Amino acid sequence: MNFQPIPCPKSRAGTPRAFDGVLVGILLVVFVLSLFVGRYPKPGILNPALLAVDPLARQIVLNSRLPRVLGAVLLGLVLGGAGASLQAVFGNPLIDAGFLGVSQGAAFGAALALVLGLRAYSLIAVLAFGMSLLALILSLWLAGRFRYGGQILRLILAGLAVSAFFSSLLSMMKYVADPLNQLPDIVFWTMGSMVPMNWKRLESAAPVALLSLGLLYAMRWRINLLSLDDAVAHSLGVRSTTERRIVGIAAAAGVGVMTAACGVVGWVGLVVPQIVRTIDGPDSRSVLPRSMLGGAIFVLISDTLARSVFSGEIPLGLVTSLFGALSFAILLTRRKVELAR
Amino acid sequence: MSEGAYLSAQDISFGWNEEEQPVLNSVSLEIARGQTLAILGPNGAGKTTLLSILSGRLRPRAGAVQLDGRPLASYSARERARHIAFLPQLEKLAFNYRVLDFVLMGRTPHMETLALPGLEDEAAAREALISLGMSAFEARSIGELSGGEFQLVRLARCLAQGASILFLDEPASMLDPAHARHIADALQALTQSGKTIIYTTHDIGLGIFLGGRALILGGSEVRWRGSAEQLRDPQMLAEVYGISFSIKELPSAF
Repeated sequence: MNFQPIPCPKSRAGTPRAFDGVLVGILLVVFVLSLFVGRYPKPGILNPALLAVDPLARQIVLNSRLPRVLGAVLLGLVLGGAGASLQAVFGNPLIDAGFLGVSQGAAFGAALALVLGLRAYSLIAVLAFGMSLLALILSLWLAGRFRYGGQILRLILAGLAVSAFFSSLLSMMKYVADPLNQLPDIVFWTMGSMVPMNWKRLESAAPVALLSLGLLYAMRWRINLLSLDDAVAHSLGVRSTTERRIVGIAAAAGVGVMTAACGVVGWVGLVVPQIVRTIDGPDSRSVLPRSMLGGAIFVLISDTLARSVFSGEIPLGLVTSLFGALSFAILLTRRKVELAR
Repeated sequence: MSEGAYLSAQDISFGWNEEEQPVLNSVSLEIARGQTLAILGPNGAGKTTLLSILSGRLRPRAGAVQLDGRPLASYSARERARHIAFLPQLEKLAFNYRVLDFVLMGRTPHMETLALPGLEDEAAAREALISLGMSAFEARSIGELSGGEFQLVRLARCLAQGASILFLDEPASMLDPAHARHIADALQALTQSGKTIIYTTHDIGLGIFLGGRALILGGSEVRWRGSAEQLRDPQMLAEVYGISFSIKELPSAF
C-alpha cells in the first residue's frame, strides 16, 4: 500500500517569520510618512526641518496628525483583529463586525446618544458598545433559529437582518434629529472619519481597544480550536459556547469603542484577514497578528489618502469601502477564499 | 459496577424531548481498560447518541457514567479531555489548516489555557502522524487531502491528544477498501498498545476483524451483546436486524 503523497508544489512548511517583520516595517514607514504627508504648508510632504522653526507645523504634526494617525492605527488593529477572530470562531470566512450588525448597532447607539443630547464621548461610547453587543447577540440568536440554509448562510442572513434593523433605527434617529446641529454629525459619523480624533478621544478609546486587542491576541490558539467542529472542540476540553462569547464580546467591545470614536469604517475586517490567509494558511497564531497589522496599514493609508488627495476631506469609510469592495471582488473571482473542505 | 470496569454506564436513558420515544432506554455497559467495544445497530438505533453520552458530550436524562471509579460529570473539561478523545463521523471544517497544525490542536488538554503549543507538543503531533504513516503529509493543507487521508489525520489528532479511551463514530465508513484497511490496522495496533477503543460501525466485518466485545442496539435498548467473534452468527443477526443473513465468500478488506 502506498501512502506517499505526490510531491507538493507549494509546500507550506515553516512560517515565513520575515513576513511579520516586513509588515511591522511597512506600518512604521507608513506611520512616519503619514505624519508628514498633508496639505500644510502646501500639498505634499512637510519638511521635518520645519518642526524646529514653525510652531504651526509643530502644532499640526503633534496635536492634529499624531493623535489622528495613532487613532487610525488603533482602529485598523481592532478592525483587522476583530474580523479575523470573528471569522475563525464562527467558522465563517465571509463575515466581519459589519456583517453581524456590530457596526450598525454601534452606529445606532452613537446616533441615539447624539439625538439625546449626550455629547460626551464616553457616553457615546457606552451606548455604541451596548448596542453593538446587542446586535451581535441578536445575530447569533437569530442564526440559531433560522430554518433555512447552512450554518454559514444562516449567520450571513441573520447578520443582514440585524444590520438592516439597526440601519432603520439609525434612519429614524436621522429623521428625528435636529437638522442643523445633530443631523450633520450623524451623517458624517456614519460615513466614518478620523477628523474628530484628538488626544482626548484617543485616550478614552485606547484602554478598551487595547484590552480587546490583547485579549484576542492572547486567545489566538483558542481561536483556532473554536473554529473546529463543536464535537471536536468539546473532545479537546474547549468550552466552545463560553469561549466563543468571550471572543465575540472582546471583538464587539473593540469595534464598539472605536466606532464610537470615528464612525463606521467598513470592509477592513472582512478583506484583510482574507488576504492574510492566502499567504500561509488559516492558523490564527499568525493570521491574527498579521490581520491586525494589515488592518492598521490599510486604514492608515486610506486615512492619509482621505485627508490629502483633495482639498476637501473624503470620509474614511468611503475610501475603505471602495478599496475593500474592489479587493474582495478580486479575491473571490480568483478563488482565493478557502471555504470548508 | 464490577472491579475491572474502567468506564461504565448504569441505566442510561436519553431523549431529545420529553414527549417523544426515548432514543436510549436503560442502557448499561461496562468496559475494562484496554478493551475494544464495537457498537452496532440499525440506523437511528442511538449508536452515536450512546457514544456522545459515554464521552461526556451529552448528559443522560437518567443514569450515570463512571470513569475510573468517578462520575464522568465530576471531571473538569481538561481532565476529561486527557482521558477521552471523541472522533465524530463527520467533521465540518471552515478553514484548511496545515496538517501538522491541525494535529497539534489535539495537544490542547496538555497545554495551559492561553499557552501556544511548544516543541514537545510538535514532537507528539509528529509522532502521531508517523505512527499512522502520514508524516509526509504534515506540510500539506487539509483541503488537499482525500477523504481517507483526512480520516487518518483526524485519527492522528486523537492520538496526539494522548487519551486512554478513544470514541470513534464510524471510523472506517465511506472509505475505499485500502484506506478502510489502513484505519483498521491502525486501530488494531492501538488496541494492542493498550488503548480502550469504543466505536460504532455498520460493518460487521470490521467488528470481527478488530475483535474484543460487541453490542447491538435496537429499539432504544441493547438487543444483543457478546464477543465480536460471535458476530459471525447469521441467525443472531437475522433476529436483531430483521433480515436474513448468509455467510458468503466475498472479497473483503478485513
